[in-house]
Amino acid sequence: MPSVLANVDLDRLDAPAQDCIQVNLSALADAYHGAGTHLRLGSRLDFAPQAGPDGLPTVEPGLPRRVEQAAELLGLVADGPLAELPGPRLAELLTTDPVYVVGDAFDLPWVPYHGRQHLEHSFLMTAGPRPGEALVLDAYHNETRWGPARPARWTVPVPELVATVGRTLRTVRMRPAGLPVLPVADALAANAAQLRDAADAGEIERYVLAYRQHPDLTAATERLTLETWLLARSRRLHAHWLAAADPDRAAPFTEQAGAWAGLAEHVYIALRRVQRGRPAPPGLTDRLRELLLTDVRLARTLVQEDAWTPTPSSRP
Amino acid sequence: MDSHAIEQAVIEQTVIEQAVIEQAVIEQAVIEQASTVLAVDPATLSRTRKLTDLPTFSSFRIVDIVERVERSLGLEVDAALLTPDNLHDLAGLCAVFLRSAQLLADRGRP
Repeated sequence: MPSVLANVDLDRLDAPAQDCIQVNLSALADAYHGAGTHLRLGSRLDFAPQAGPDGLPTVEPGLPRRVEQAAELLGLVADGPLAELPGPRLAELLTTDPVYVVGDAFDLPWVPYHGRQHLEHSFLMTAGPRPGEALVLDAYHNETRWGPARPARWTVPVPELVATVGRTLRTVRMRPAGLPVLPVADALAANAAQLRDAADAGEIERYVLAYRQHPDLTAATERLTLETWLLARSRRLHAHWLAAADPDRAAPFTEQAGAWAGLAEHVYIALRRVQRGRPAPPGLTDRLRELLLTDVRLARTLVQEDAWTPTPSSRP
Repeated sequence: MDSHAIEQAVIEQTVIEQAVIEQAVIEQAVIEQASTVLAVDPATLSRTRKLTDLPTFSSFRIVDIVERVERSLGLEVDAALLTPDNLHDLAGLCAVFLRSAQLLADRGRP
């Protein structure tokens, strides 16, 4: 029986709008429920920073939350908790049902980070078309300083796979379930409420100040590079989802996603300068704050609520 | 024309000539480095309106270009000019270096 991973249309996955953890859950959702299912992940537009490394807040959801979102939005249910597994035992999991695997990109020979940078990275695998082979799919799409990462699907001898994927992996088998009902109006209302509450609670100001006032400029700019990259991708996916769900009202969100991409690039340029011990371009955290507040205002234009202005706690 | 006016005119002409030479040097350096980093021949590069249209373009490459031109000219770009919009086409890149040279010259003047 051919692997369900053969169903994934890699060209229709919006991979440039997703991070390395969610994109392969998206691929699995498209494999089981049809092309375009992954867009449901874009129905959520939120701002929910949590404590992160270096005393800086982060919008990175983390792996367990990504798995929860797959159940809430993509019709994929984990058949158990994420399990740690030594790399050599990966072969034991190979069946015709896909396994979602997260390892260290440093160990994975097909990504540009291989041997260069430690960070979580996901992929999917099933038994391959011939005995002794595995079928691997990694839909990640990104530019890196070491070259591009592009979505791909390939077969590999099982011994070769288990020998190269690292010592410790986290795995979970995600089963298809019914697609959750997802009324567009409810999603838009929830987004508007979440963003308004976050702003009114001072989340935006605390987040911006944490990056603006951090004593280590290099550490803060490094982290802000990842943060703005994540925010830009999530806003882009939201714009794509809205363009499909409510096309007449998507244009401002497409423009806003472009603005986020511009900020992410600007912060990266700043990082390279700061890493050389030179001054950063001015105004980055002002622009960050401006875009976060624009997210709130835009989300609220899609629901029937009174005009929103920042409360005292959401002002600097 | 008195001697002071003549002297002033000579100075102004010299400044204009230096600026012209500087602009030509900057353009040459930008095209040379961008061509190398983006793996595109200079003629094709000069015809490319937006560098973002090139398949080899990325934020990583644009910073590489800026740093290589900085080393080549011995001139650091003013941080405030380092915006994506300024760096996405050849004319913008050249303007960034020219403006940085001007700012540097202005700071050196009494």
